Amino acid sequence: MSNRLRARGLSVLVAGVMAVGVSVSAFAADREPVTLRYLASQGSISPHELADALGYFKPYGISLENVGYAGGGPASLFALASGNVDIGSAATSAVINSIASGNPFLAAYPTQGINDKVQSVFYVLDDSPIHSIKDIAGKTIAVNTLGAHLDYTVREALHSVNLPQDAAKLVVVPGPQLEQTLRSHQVDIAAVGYWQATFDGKLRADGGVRAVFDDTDVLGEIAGGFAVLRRDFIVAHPDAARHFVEESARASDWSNAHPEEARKVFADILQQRGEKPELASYWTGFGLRPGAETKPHDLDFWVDVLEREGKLPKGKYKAADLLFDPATASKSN
Amino acid sequence: MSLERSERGFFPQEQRPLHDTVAQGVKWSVQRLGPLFARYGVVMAFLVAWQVLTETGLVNPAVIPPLDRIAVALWEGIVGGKLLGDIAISLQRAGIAFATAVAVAIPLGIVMGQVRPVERALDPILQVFRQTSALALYPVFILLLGLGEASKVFVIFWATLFPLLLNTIGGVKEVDPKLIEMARVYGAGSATVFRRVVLPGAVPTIFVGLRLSATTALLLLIAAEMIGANKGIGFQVMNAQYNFEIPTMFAAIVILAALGLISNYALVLLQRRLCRWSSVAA
Repeated sequence: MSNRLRARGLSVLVAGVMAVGVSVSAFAADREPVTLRYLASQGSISPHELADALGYFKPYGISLENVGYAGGGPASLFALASGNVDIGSAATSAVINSIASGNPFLAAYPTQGINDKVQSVFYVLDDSPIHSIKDIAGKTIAVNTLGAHLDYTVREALHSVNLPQDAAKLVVVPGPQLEQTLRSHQVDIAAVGYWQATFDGKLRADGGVRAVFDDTDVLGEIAGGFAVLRRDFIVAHPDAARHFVEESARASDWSNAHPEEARKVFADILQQRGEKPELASYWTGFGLRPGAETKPHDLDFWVDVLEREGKLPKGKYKAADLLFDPATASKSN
Repeated sequence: MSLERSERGFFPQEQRPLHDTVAQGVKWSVQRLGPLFARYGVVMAFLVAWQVLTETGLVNPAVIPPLDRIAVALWEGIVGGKLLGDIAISLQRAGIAFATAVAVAIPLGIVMGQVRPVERALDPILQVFRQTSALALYPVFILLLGLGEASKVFVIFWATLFPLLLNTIGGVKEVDPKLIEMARVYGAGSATVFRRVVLPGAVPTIFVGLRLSATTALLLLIAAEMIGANKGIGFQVMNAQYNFEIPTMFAAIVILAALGLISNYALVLLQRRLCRWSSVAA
């Protein structure tokens, strides 16, 4: 009698262990740890960095790893192409350029956008003779990188006043040195990007400068840049890619709803990176729509610009080809 | 009789000329093209491998484009004129810096080589300046001279000055003392010894310095144009990369390499003319 009871008890125990084991392994397979390497930008953060700091990725086993700084978007795309990072982040024009030149990328979600609160501003010193877009012809403009948002904003601005696209001289200056090069008269205009709100705030606070124009004057309300993933990464980790996009959008919405707390988290991130945490107080947010939504206009506008420049064949690229759709990715798994 | 015919093989008499022509053609090819292949065979194999690997996709064509696309970009750049302005301004920068370095280094080097006290006085500080990399000092030059042409020309001048100076000093000091002795024995005064023995004897070493400096000038040109420039071949290498125009980037690199080859060859020709008495290896 006791033997039979013992045997039954044992089989129940074994069945129980197996059930737990199966469900644990199913759970684990759904949450295999994935590390996404990325390059940070001085004085600025992306929604995915905020999401990581808030712990949104932990339940999904996703962790982000900062492997250094990129001076600008194109540099992070080179790193993405060579496999040194898993997340690239660049202006829309640079992303389209990179895909059109054959790199197997997809734009995942817009990391920042420009609207009436979040803008790139072109500053001059108070005593400068430059007062409007027409005056920038022949002048030197400090930008963080070539081939990205500020470069194309200048081209669009010149196009809007019927000047040749290379009428202004762009000079690459790292973000922390923008103010210095402007004040020491080494450049005529300092272009402070919408993602460099920290340096923008400090520049205004130190005074003696005025704005000539900003990118919303030229481009309207539009997404500024995108996080970029490689196609083979999306195929290998479709769930991680989907969660990456969804949680980053959630972090962006949170920062819109709680700007003061977001600034505190931003200050912590700057502190960890060894930058100046006080700059976080100047932050104006990501400038994204609710849910970090992408409108076709965000991509189509730049496709048109590049087709007009002659860099893209007409009609070959549409927004749908360039954007990662999380719904289709996990369905195909 | 039949043995002879069978030794000639199965070809009837009428077809022998073709056989002969082919044999002659092969012999001519080997004789004429053989040396060509011996010299350039590896280069040609490299280029063929490049085209094949990138066309078939074994090497990512977005990162290293096939040769035909680079050739098209090169054509558009030079014949189409897209890169001509950049080439002109780069040559201008490097040319001015190099010419100034020559104008400063050669007289100074000759004086320092001949006059001991001057060399003793200047040598320590020149060694200090020489060891400090020009690129490390570039930010200092930018602060002093601004972001314009002056700082770029100056950094190239700084880097090309020292190899030339050192080679000139060495060339002047290392003239064969027996030649000088022989000239003195024949009654030559100091000036004549200098003009007829020391100077010509130093020329080969000076030319080594010139060729080294020309290479350094082009290297520094690329680096100087990557900061604070918006025109130039070095700038175009970076600009094309950031705009994902990779064939243009490679075309600019090829142009830079060609400029280096041309300047080296020009100096070799010049040296051959000036130093007919010594054979110069390219």
